[in-house]
Amino acid sequence: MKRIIAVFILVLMAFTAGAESRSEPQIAYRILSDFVFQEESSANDRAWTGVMLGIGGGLMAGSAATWFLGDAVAEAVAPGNSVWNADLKTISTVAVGGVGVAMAGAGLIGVLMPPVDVRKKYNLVYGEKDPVVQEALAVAALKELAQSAKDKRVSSAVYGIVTPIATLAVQTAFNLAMGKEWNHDYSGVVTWQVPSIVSSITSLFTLSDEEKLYEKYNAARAAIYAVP
Amino acid sequence: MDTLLRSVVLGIGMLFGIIRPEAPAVSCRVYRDDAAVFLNAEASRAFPQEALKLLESGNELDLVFLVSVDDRGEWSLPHSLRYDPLTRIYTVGIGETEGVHRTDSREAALSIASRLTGLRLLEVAELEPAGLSVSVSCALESPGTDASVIWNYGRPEARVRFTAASGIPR
Repeated sequence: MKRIIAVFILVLMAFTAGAESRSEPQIAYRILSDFVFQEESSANDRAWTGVMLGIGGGLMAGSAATWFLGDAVAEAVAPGNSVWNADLKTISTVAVGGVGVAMAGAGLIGVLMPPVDVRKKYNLVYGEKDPVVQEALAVAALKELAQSAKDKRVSSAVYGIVTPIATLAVQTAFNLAMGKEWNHDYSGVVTWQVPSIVSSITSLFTLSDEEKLYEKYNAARAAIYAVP
Repeated sequence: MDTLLRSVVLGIGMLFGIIRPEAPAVSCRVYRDDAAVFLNAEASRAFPQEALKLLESGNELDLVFLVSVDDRGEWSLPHSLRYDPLTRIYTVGIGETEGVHRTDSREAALSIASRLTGLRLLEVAELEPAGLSVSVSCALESPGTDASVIWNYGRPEARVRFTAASGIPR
């Protein structure tokens, strides 16, 4: 009996050892996290606020200087000139000061703006505690990102190609209605539209960054599972 | 009765070519470290629309990975899928780890069920000098229903053979 139990335990152990498995690597999660980090960095890059505050402050100082020192400077540069008068002084002060206030205000708004929470968009992924489910959700998020970027790219390219064609059609109709040659003034329109067509055709065949992320994941997946 | 009727309808649909499921496929990769040989496998297109309807109408679906290594017999590793229409939660049970994963994302649940990751096949010391042959096939099962009709009675299979133990990639 003991022998039978021992054999049974050994068989059970052998099966358990055989069925042991490693956890799936979180490839999609890492790719998505890297993307989210980059998006957060660029969305919360506030270097421009310092520039705006600096220029705005400078312009406000210039405005004050114009008001208080404008007469003296104008007299020193061109004694007895008639161009610099009270109206010009007021307009210059208000214009320079106004632009300064607007720029400094924009800079201040930028400083006070709450940081952009890109992660919120991927709450489903980041809120998941089970690493297996988290990885699967990250794959779905990457796929959705790529699909939406592809839709945007293709629709923008189609718009970029269709618009010049429609413009040429309108030009042709206009030419015929006006009794001119059907291709009258075509060169102007074509020259103007060619860059748009070329850029649209190029974007039709160029993957967006988001699509490249999903491609990157697929390459990793192919390496892991030998998916053809 | 309802599931039987559904199976019959699916069968008739396929017989007349009204329902043409994309054939499922399985891919696998065998690799090793210093101690053991592992297997990763993935079933593609394992859950066509008919399978999802079956699942979301309250039936359990089992994607069974059948793994055989040389002539050491066959392991049957079921990945079971259940859907609770009340909570809208998918539950995936992974046979080889005995792990249970829950999610409200259908895509995530299907992706988890379709993969077999890091299955420890054998110890490096157990490798035969002649090499190693591994085959992985898949079957779709559902208790009380003939789910194999969804795959048109097919069973996708992938085989890999290494003529020398040293040929197994790391």
